Amino acid sequence: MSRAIILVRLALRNLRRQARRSAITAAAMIVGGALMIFSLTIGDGGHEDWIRSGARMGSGHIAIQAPNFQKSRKIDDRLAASARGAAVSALQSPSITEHTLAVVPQLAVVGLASSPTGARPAQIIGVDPIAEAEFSILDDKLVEGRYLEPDDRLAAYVGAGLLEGLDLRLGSRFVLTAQDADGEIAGQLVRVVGVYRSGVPEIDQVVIHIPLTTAGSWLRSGDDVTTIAVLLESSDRVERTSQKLNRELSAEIEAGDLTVLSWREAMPVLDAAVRIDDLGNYVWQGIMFGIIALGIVNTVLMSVLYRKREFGLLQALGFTPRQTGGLIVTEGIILTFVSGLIGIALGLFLTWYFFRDGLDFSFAWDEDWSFSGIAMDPVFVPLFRTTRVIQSLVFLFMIGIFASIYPAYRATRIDVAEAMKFER
Amino acid sequence: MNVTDMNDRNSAAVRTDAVWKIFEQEAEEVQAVRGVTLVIKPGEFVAMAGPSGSGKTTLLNLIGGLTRPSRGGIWVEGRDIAAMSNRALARMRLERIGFIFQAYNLLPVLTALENAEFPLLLQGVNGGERHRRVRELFERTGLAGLEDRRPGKLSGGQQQRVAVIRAVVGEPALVLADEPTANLDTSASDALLDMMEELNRDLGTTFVFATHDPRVMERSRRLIRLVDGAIESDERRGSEPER
Amino acid sequence: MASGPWWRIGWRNIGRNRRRTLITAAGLAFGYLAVVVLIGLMDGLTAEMIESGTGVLSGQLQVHDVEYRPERKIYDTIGGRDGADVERLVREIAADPVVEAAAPRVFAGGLVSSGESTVAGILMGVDPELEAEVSSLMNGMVRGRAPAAATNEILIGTEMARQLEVDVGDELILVAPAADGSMGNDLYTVSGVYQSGMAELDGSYAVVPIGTLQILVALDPGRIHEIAATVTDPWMAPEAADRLTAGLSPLGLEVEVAAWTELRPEMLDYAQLADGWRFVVIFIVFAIAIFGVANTMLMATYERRREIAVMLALGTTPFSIVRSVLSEAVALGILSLAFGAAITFPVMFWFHNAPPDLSWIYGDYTIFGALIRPRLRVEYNFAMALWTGVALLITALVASLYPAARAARVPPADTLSGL
Repeated sequence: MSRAIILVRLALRNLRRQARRSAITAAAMIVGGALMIFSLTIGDGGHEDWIRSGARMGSGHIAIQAPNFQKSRKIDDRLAASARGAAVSALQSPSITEHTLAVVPQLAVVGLASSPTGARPAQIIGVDPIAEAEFSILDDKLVEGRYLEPDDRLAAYVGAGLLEGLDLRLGSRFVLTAQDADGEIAGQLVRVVGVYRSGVPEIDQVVIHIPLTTAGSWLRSGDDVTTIAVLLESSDRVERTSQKLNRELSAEIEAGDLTVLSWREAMPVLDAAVRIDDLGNYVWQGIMFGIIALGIVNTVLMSVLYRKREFGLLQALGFTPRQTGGLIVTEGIILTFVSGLIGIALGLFLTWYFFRDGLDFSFAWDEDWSFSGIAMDPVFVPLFRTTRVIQSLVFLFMIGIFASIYPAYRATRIDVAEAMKFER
Repeated sequence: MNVTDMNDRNSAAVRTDAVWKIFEQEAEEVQAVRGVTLVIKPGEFVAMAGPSGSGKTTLLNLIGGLTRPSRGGIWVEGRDIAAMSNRALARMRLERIGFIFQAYNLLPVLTALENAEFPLLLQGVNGGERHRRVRELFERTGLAGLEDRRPGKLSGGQQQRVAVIRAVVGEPALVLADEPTANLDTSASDALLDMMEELNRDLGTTFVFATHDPRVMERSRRLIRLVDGAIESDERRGSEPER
Repeated sequence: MASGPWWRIGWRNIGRNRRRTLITAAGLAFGYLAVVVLIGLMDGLTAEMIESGTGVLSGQLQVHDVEYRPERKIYDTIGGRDGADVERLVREIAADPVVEAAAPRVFAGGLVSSGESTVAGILMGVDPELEAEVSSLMNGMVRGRAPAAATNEILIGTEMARQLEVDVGDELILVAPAADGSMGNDLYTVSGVYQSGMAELDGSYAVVPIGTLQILVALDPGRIHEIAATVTDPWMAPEAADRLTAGLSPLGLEVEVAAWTELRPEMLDYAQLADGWRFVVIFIVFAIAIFGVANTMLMATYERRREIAVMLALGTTPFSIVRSVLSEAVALGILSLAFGAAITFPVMFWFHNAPPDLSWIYGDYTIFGALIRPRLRVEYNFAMALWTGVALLITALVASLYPAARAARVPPADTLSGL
């Protein structure tokens, strides 16, 4: 124990003695650490935003559906009443409701929307107007008219893309055609009550919201739904919540009545986008810290070579080569860890101070940038996560150790007699 | 040289007037040079002797413009060093003054020849002329054949001879040598002194040594003894050199 | 004075502490590698996005009636209700020097039904031979073949085939609102199944021969909605669009010729942002690398302060000392650059010719609806490789400014006596 204190004290003094060199190396670490935490918080914030917007334009962070529905998209694969009941009661357990923002029923089918001008494939979603307004962000993207209301019957809320494509306007009537629960082709006349523009062509040209009651009578499916969409307070909760649901609904799942899909499974394309963005971020950190690590290797190595005599003396006084190496590693770790800590703190502070309301890229693009089915908000609001800070610290710690290994190895190989021989 | 021939004062190689050099060390004040006044005429072969700490190296550095006096004036060939910019001082050292150090101080990355021709390079002398002059001095000093060696591959005596060539190759009016023989054995010291005497005689170069080597004092023609930063004695020995 | 000895001294000095020089050079070389490869990857992503976004369906150039976009009404055909001489138009467009191929198209929304199930689809009428040169759909067959001209054959995507539970040889009923307000319907045979990788596309686009579709939706043979064209280099498309606009005007048709840059402005924005981002990458990487170089140069000049004092004593000006330190930095930079280039170009060559497959980490994803495959595709960009080299040398120079300034201020007398 006391030996460790001596090591730390010696290491600290040596770092102080080479103040300028230590400072420059530390500066690299500080800049690197700050940049790392900045890009991680901004990246995480961006991802959380993408996920939330993907979830709120579609089927939530978690979707409970019949096993086949994800692939078939057919009304045949809707949730049986019993399965739905089980799912709803599972969702009411306190440990889940605590982190749940909204649970909505959806009846989603693929059909054709046609007007005198032409016809377009459409994804028609029957929704509960009040619940959906809470859940979805499409109602916030209103450009004309209004969102669905509880008393609406033949109302449709359509995207601007589809509106243009079918040459419709607010108040226009058009026909929805799809296969109903009995396997017949059924048509339904609806009227445009509101128009939205989400910025995502895949949504604006395709997605139509109609009241669930209208959908039920049109498709002869009654109160049935295809999806129970769950919106959580944060994507961090997804894994735990779906595990819990899987446990509670294991009987229904085994019976093949339903399945619990996370957003990653429901939106594989968005999942890929988040993964590649994270991967890119990690590669970027790897590159930066690779360069920084080389700088640390150099600094620590030079301090070893300058201090040959001192190490000779330490070993003559009874330091083992292992302890000498330990001293060097201690120096490297203190240097990286302290400067890394400063860098992370600085990064957190600067990110919070300057960008807590978001890093605004709207000079470069506006809201019509979309990828993987979501509109990319040009404002990135950083997300601060303790796990990220801990991850970063561990990472910096590893960098410190790795960068000191070679210099430490060199220090252990100093020939005591040789080092002591030269009187200056 | 012929900066001017207005009067005798300006024709001195070196003139100092009540020069002081005070170093601030921590809280302590060290008076390294205390009011030295002296005149060295062109062509003199002067040794400044004294125990370590007597201020002889500092005085040499003051004359060479490597450090500036705290008080008093220094004139080299009639020019007031205190009034000169660092750049002008560098130019003066390059063209008028040669330095020889105790530790040789050759640049390790340059070969013997390159070290010797360094001042000529700085002066912009063309390659052919540089090599001619350096090779001639190498011949005269027995270094021929060692031109392409780096300092690390030369003996102490050889290194110091290269250093002397470096000091005189630009044909300066004044050579300042700080303990040039301290690291050399007797025969190497003698050879070096022979060489410097010869240059003094043939080219009229003024030599000023800081030394405590008795042999150097013996062969000097003027011996200034310094104690605690002040002149204790100043005696001329032997004859002035024939110009 | 000629170049002086500074360059020689600087160059030889970097050889004095080989290990340190090597580590420092490794840092810069690694930075060079990282920047050039990252820029290559960014260019690769942009190229992939443009190729995939324009190559699957839309082509890099489209010609429409001026009224057609954005509503895409079925009766807004080229040349209005009278139609146009399609063959001649296609020929004129294909004659442009950068256009590789051009193909006429008719679009209609409709229902595709197998009897058991029905899906909504976009029906695209094409000239099978010409279309094969423009759209990769026609070449993305997983089963069967493209529909033959003037037959009731249909090519559908894997997703639609799955939803309809049909395969090659099965019959499908097509129902589509026609241009005259009636509903057209007819029986078609599946000739092939394609896969583009984009589920929405594979589930909604069905390809039929152009003449057959014209009959279904009551359009005359001279009435088409679009002529799509591919060009040799996507970046030449806007130029070609301007040229074609001028070239087609004597025909007296009210057409617009739009390049992908106009049809997909967000892709152009993205490409431009990526271009700007390159310099951010260069800046950050070398801003980090600069510390390592500064430290090395500081150590190097500190170790040699005695030599510097000697040089000053011999009459070297402080400015020349700065020059010698800067020369050393440039020498170090050149060494690093050589080292960096030696490791970078093989990596670039490898990535370019055999892009590493990352599908084990992540799947396909889309940017602006364009499918991006999970692989590290790099594009060569020699201009940027050159600029990165310049940035590396500037980094070495800037990093040594402070060490050089310190070196020039070495007090000669103290240093020489002090040791």
